Amino acid sequence: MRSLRRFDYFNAKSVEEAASILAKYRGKAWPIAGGTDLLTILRFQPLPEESYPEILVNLKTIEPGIEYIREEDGVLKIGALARLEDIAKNPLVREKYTALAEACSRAASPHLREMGTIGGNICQITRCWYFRKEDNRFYCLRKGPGGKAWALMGDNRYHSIFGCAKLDIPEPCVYGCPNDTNIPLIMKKVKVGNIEEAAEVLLDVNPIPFVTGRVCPHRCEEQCSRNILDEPLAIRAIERFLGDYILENADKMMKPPETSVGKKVAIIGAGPAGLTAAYYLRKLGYEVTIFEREGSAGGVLRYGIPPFRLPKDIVEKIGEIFRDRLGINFKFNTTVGRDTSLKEIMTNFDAVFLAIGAWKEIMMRIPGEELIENGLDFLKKVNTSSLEKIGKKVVVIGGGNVAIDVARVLLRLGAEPTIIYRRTEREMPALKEGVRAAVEEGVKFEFLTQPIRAERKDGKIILTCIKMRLGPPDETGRPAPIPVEGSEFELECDAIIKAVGEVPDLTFIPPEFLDEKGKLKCDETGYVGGNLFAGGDVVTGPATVIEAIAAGRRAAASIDKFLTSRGDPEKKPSVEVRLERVDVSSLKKMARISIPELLPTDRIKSLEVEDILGISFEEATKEAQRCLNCGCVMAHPSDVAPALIVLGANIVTNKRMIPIEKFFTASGLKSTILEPDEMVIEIQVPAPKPGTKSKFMKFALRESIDFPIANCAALVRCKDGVIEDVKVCLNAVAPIPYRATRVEEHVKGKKVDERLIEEAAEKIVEEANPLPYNKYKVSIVKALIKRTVLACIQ
Amino acid sequence: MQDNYLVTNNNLRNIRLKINGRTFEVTVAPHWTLYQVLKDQLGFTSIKDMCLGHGACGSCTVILDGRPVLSCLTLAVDCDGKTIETVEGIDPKHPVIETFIKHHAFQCGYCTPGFVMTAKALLDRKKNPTIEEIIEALSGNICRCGAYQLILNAVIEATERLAKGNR
Repeated sequence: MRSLRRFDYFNAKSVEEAASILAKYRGKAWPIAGGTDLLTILRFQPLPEESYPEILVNLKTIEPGIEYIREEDGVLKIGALARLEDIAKNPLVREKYTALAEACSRAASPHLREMGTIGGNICQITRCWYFRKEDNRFYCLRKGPGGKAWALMGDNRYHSIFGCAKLDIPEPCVYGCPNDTNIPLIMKKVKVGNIEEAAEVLLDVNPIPFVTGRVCPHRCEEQCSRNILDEPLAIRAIERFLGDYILENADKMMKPPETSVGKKVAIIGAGPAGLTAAYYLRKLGYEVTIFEREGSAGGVLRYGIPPFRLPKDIVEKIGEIFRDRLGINFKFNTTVGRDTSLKEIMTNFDAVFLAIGAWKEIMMRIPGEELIENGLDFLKKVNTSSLEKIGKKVVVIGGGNVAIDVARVLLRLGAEPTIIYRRTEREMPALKEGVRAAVEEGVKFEFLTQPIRAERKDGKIILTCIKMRLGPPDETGRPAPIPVEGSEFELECDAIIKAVGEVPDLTFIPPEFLDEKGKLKCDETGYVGGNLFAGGDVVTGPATVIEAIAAGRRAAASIDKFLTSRGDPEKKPSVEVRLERVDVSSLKKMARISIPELLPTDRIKSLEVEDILGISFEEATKEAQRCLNCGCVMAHPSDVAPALIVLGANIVTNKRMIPIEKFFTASGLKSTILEPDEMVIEIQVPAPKPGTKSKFMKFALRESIDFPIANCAALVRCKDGVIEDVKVCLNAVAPIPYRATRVEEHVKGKKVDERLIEEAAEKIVEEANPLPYNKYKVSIVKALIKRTVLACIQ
Repeated sequence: MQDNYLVTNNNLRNIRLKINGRTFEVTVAPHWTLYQVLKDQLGFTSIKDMCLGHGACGSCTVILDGRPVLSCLTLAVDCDGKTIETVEGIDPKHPVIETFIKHHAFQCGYCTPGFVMTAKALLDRKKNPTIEEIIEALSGNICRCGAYQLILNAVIEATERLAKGNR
């Protein structure tokens, strides 16, 4: 038998003392009552490593003990530590609160009822089949960010038949996105053809989805739960479709602000970070001016990324829309540090956002480096059609995205590029997609190769290189390349372009904003100092467009907070459980849409023609059907909970009184709304009105030991054969106890008869949303409802 | 009962257990179960384990202050000053033991100590349980050989003998 995980133990003498320890160790101290649920968790350890308690606070030593069962002023009061067996055997409870007594007598096994408490029962951690599985070390949705919706795709026979719970943990795709894009919500809208609303959701976090829909590395797709089932959802293709819709309907989608806050913000750099900040600040009513050293907006989108990946007319349109439709001012051909100073802008504007990117090529410090052209300079020339002749044989140095782009451009210009990189393909920082395209198109690669010297000879350039081998990891975590002695060789070529990394050019930044390493002093909100903010590549070094967008959005929020002292919108943990329907048809294997792409041989014919094409409305809506809308389909296992719900109980904690129906939640590992230093002290059940009967029934595989497949509690009050009051609650069929309101409505005020009850039970079928393997639970629930309600009126 | 204490991970505790009428003083860590202490530390080998600590088989049942509990899901530190009964402490002439033997209420015998303790806890607390009550009380114990009917027969007879005051 596996030992329990280690913990400290504190015997609390009073409720206050227990609460103070729980508060002191916030989240790392858990209360323990009967312990049957908790100790199993500590033995089999199905939770993420960081979630376990370090200390258990024993409530059994509280004096006077909270194990009482008594009726006071028409209210049954049960101490949280009352054992289930004692409640089940209590004559008063059996007589007047029958459903509760029956539920307690059916929970778990006789021994566990002797040990388990009512407080522990309603607070137990909800476990699904996957959660309880031994050696269950994978991350499901509930266990934390990055988890997958295993139960939706796998064996879900014991799971919810009333839909899934949206947790307070991001869905896998949202977790993958650096910009927290609410992809499931977008897909839900695309699914039903509601393109405009989907586009609006996208615009809420990303003002240039027509760009990211083309160039984003889509980490969302890497994370997609469907990876387990078949292939990831084609999120980027759908994003591109929505982005193009926004461009086509810019007059409808891109509206200037209705109000003005009368404050001015300057943005330095019209790249993705700057444009994003400009968009959201303008939307909030700021007067926004963008300073840009080039003659056109877009930054890296305009001057860096080659046109076959991002057509330049799209980038041109961003400038037009931002200027003409949103009323953002642009000052082109203005280099801060030359034409104006940062200090001057900071004085003339209420706030300044620095988003100049990272354009300075790192020096390799090798002899003959002046013969080597910079990758970004080369791309800029290509993008402004100012490129003069380029040789036939070109060596590209570097393994990042710029190197790949340079090589692919060279191919289209008729050159024969060879990429040399000092590590292997595995360590290349370039995105896999780009590398794959470059290989398909015919770019040559020389791995484990480091240039050491360049020299001109007879009109050619001779690049002397040395072979490398991989050594132990360096500070970047990648294996360090080590030169192999005596392996020097020469490469003869017409030109050399290097793309070995870029850094921001901070020469015009006053020293007070730089740290000792010469980097911008910038906190995570984007604040630098004075009224200066920064974000994007200038802070992080070369990164992706979506990260720049996220930084721009974050900066816009920080600047708004800075200028209006509005403060953060209070983020209150949501306690409302949202049950959403599971679209069962999406759980089947379905082929991913094929995204039209030019053949490599056709691609290299033109620099301008996009190599990947867009998809149609029909294709987008069809692909969106594949979205699983990941949610948790665990089944809440408590037998006591539904009985307490039909009896209208209240939960008294050390802080407040909670009506039982508001007590349960489905949020990650939490099954109740209790705060870390809150514990159940007492359960109060108002005495049912005379003539009321309540019953509880349970269906489990092994009657005495197993968790319920389904259970049902009902309460009925009849007068002269007419049902005056009725409550029906199910459990083990949804992430929280499930009140069968439609069943109740059907019988209320009607004359009791068996046919009526049967019809009512049938109502549950209309509400049910069974998964592929648990349709049988619907029949069980139907029978349980019928039997339990009938038992109340007999 | 001891004073409040906060133990650190390596800080062991001295507790006092009254087992089968004898007092034992043992040193335990907070995360040790009663099962570990009784079986591994003190050698009460009648305590068995089938379900690897899920609390699903009943074979580690002991009687703790009169209640049948699963020792695998009981913390030893919680038992300080408490009274524990195991099969080793039952008089061999006790009706439950005699009737189990008489009815061959086992095949491999592995689950027997758990069944015996559960049955004794029932009969200690209830004078003359009905057959339904006996079945209910024993329902948390699992016999993988399937000797249930024989076990039930044994407990029914033990009940009758005890009711007659015939020990």
